[in-house]
Amino acid sequence: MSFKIFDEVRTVDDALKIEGELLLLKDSIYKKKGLTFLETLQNKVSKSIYDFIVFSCKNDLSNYDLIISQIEEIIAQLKKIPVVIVKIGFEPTYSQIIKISNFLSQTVGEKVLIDILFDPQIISGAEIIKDGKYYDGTTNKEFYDALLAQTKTVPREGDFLIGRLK
Amino acid sequence: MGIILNEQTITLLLIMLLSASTLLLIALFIVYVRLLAKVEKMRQDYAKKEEGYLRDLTSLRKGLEKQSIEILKESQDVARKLIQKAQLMTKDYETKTEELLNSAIKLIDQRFQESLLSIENKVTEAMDLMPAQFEKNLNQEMQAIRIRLVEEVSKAQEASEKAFNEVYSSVENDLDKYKKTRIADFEKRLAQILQIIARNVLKKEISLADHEKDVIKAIEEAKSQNVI
Repeated sequence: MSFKIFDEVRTVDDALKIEGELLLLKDSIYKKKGLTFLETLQNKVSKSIYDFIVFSCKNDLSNYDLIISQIEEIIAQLKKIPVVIVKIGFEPTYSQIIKISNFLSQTVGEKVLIDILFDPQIISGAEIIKDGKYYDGTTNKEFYDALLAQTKTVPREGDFLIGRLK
Repeated sequence: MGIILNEQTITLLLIMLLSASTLLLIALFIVYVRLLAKVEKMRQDYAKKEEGYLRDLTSLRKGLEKQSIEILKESQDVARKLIQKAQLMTKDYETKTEELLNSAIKLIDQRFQESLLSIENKVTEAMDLMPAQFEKNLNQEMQAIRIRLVEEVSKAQEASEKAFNEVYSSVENDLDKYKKTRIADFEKRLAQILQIIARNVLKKEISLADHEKDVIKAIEEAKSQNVI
């Protein structure tokens, strides 16, 4: 059942959101003030988390020890998912993010979290970074090569930083 | 022989004593009155004398004042006379000094003129005595000096012209360099702007679907390069 949560998590932001909800739920068990555990479960977390908690404690929502251990287990698993940074030059739609994420996980051969960064300098394609390794899959080089063929002036390396948002 | 004192006798004695006492008192009173009169007279005399003294003092003071003023006037007169005398003396002294100086200058001038005349005469004599060859040599030397002077002036002129030209050409070179640098900067900047414009135009021309394809392609390439 916990896999449904993982199915919904595609990006680093998604993982952080799920982790935040799980921590909120865990805190509500200990807190005596504010929302109770049940109120938090019903109103403050996503349906997948709700379903997972109800399923994992076998409808015994007073079994706090079991619930806490399940929450901690899920958070630990989320943190184990590898992250791939993808720098692109356009703002993708949600369906595109799903497609790219699925393709990425499929290509890598395991579940990965995609961290999409927007870089206006990139014309098209993407820069891929994983575990400190980098690949420039952008079309920038081709573009500048083509442009250089037309102009004799060689631009400096730092010139391409103009207008960069980073 | 004893004297018998009876009442009558005693009374008589008493009367006599009383009379004597009365007479004594009267005498004393008279003496007192006379004394008072004398004292009064003395006081009046003293007052008169005092008044006289005061009068004398006033007149004495007035006299003294008068004398003082006279002395002062005399002193002023004397002082004025002294000053006038001193001024006269100074003028006299100045006049005499000026006269002395004038005479000294005149004398010196006279001596100078005499000396000058003497030197002139001697020089003229010497020039008259100068041999013709020496005069010729002198003229030649003078000519040579003149030519040399002209040359020096010409050289200085040339040197200044050269220095000016050097400075001018240096400035011209600097200007050329600056122009070239600025043009190169401008060209470089223009190229950058062109790149930015071209890139942005190109990005807009690429559709979202094409962007997605390019990203997928990049992921495949990254896989083939063992990056992921």
